[in-house]
Amino acid sequence: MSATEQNVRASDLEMSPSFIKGWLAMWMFTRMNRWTVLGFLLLIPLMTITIDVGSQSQFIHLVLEFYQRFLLPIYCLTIFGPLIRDEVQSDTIGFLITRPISRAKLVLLKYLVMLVKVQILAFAAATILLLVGVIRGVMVEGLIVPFFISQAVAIFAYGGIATLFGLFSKKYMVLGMIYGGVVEFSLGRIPTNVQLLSMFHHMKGILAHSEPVRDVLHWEAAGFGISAAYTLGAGAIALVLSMLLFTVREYHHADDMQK
Amino acid sequence: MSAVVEVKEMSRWYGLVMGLNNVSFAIGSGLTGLVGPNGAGKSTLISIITGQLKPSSGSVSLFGEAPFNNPKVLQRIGFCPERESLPVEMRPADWLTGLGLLSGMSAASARMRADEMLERVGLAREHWQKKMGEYSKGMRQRVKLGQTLIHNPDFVVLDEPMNGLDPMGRQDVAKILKSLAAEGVSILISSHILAELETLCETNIILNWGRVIASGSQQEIRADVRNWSEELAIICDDPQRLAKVLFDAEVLAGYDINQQTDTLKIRLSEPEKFYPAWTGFLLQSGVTVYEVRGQSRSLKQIFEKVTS
Repeated sequence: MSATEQNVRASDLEMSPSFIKGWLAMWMFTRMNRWTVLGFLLLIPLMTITIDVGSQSQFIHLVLEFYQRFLLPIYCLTIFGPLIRDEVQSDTIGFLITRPISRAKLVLLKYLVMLVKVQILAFAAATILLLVGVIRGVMVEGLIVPFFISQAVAIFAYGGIATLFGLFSKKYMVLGMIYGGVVEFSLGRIPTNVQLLSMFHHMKGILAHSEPVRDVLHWEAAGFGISAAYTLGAGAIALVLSMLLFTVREYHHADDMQK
Repeated sequence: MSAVVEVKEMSRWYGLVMGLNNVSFAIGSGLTGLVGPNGAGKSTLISIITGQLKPSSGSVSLFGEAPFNNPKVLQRIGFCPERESLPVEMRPADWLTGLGLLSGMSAASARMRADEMLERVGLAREHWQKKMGEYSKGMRQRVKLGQTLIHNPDFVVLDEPMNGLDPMGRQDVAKILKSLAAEGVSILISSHILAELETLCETNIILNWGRVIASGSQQEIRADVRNWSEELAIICDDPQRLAKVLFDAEVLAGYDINQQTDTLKIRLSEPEKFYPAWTGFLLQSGVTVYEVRGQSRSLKQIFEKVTS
């Protein structure tokens, strides 16, 4: 690199960082709490120890009802909720929003980087979980593909919703719990079209492609494409709302955030 | 002087609380000091100028455009906040490289500039491999200054950049700022160390209660303040008698007598009334005057005066 390039003035640099530069920067800045990582990788596999050897029914309940329905959304909430919120609370947001990058792009890049990191982590955790299932002789036939698809789209959707909650309020955990209780656990069980609002309703449609799951939990299979589209669509809407909110709302000192 | 920043009749409210009240000023090239007590509105002003907040009314333009969420303007700004929060898990070179990338630099260029900036701000190499959570206040201040300059900005805003620095560190920072100003970079510094602002800045903006109390070069501010009141030291044979005459004439805002040196220090409430009648006061008191000295005000004294 020439000395001239080194001394180039800010006004001569490209107006806004390219997607790749922004991605690289966010990859460096976005970190996951080590306890969250450990919990992800060890908690559920450890819990399979409590399953009776050979009991597929118990495995299905643990993996789908507890892990995918309850634990995965909470993980997403604890990881994506603080995505921007933590920067605001720790007062490091000023270093980012005074850079020549639009706020919407900042949220998008942070979300996408974290999404990739969580998908990798969740894939590893799910692999360990299913391996333990195989070792204990409780692995369910035809579950692997629906399980991974359902998990991937759920992380996208819950991640977007948690990002929105985090930007909306510092009490994003409370918002998330209310959302979970009202939408996922209540509306999602009402057998009318209102259950379409529940992400887990669509995940059930994907997971029910496994026959033993249908038998044990009495879920009905739905098209992979339509279920995934509903879930991804909800995540995308939440993400766009997050980008809009971060663009129009002023995030400044931690004190302001207390309001 | 072409203005880099132009603020026109700008106000900012936080709910019912007014942070800035109808302020107008311009900032040109060179070093400009921003002075004001706590709660004067300095941080609000800096946040608006650096595009973190929007004004409630009025306008602010940097390089001719509004800064809020405007990459074109933000590209040319370097901002060093007062707050010490840094990403504690990161190493300084990585952090600066990331911020360089966000400023549009190539990865290689950002990495080189990061090292160059850490050298320039005087962060000893032995600390480069440490995480920033282990840094002292002074080291954090240096890293913050480094990130401000990584992309060669045209306008630099520094909020209390001398905080936590030892005298040597302050000298280093002052040297860097002076060299930047010599390169044509416009710099706005907010600081409570007024003596340093006095030696660094050609122009100052004094804020109090959300209003600009005075602005301009130090001479201009002094002239303004001189119009409001004056301080004099008078050495004479009977300072007490002279003080009584002046006190009775109701031209004093305050006085102080040093018996050992026979010096009467006075602060005038109405200079325009005092000076025409000065010889009359002397005749009336009958004192013999040996010396009269006008007190040249430091920035600190001016600041205390205008914010009192």
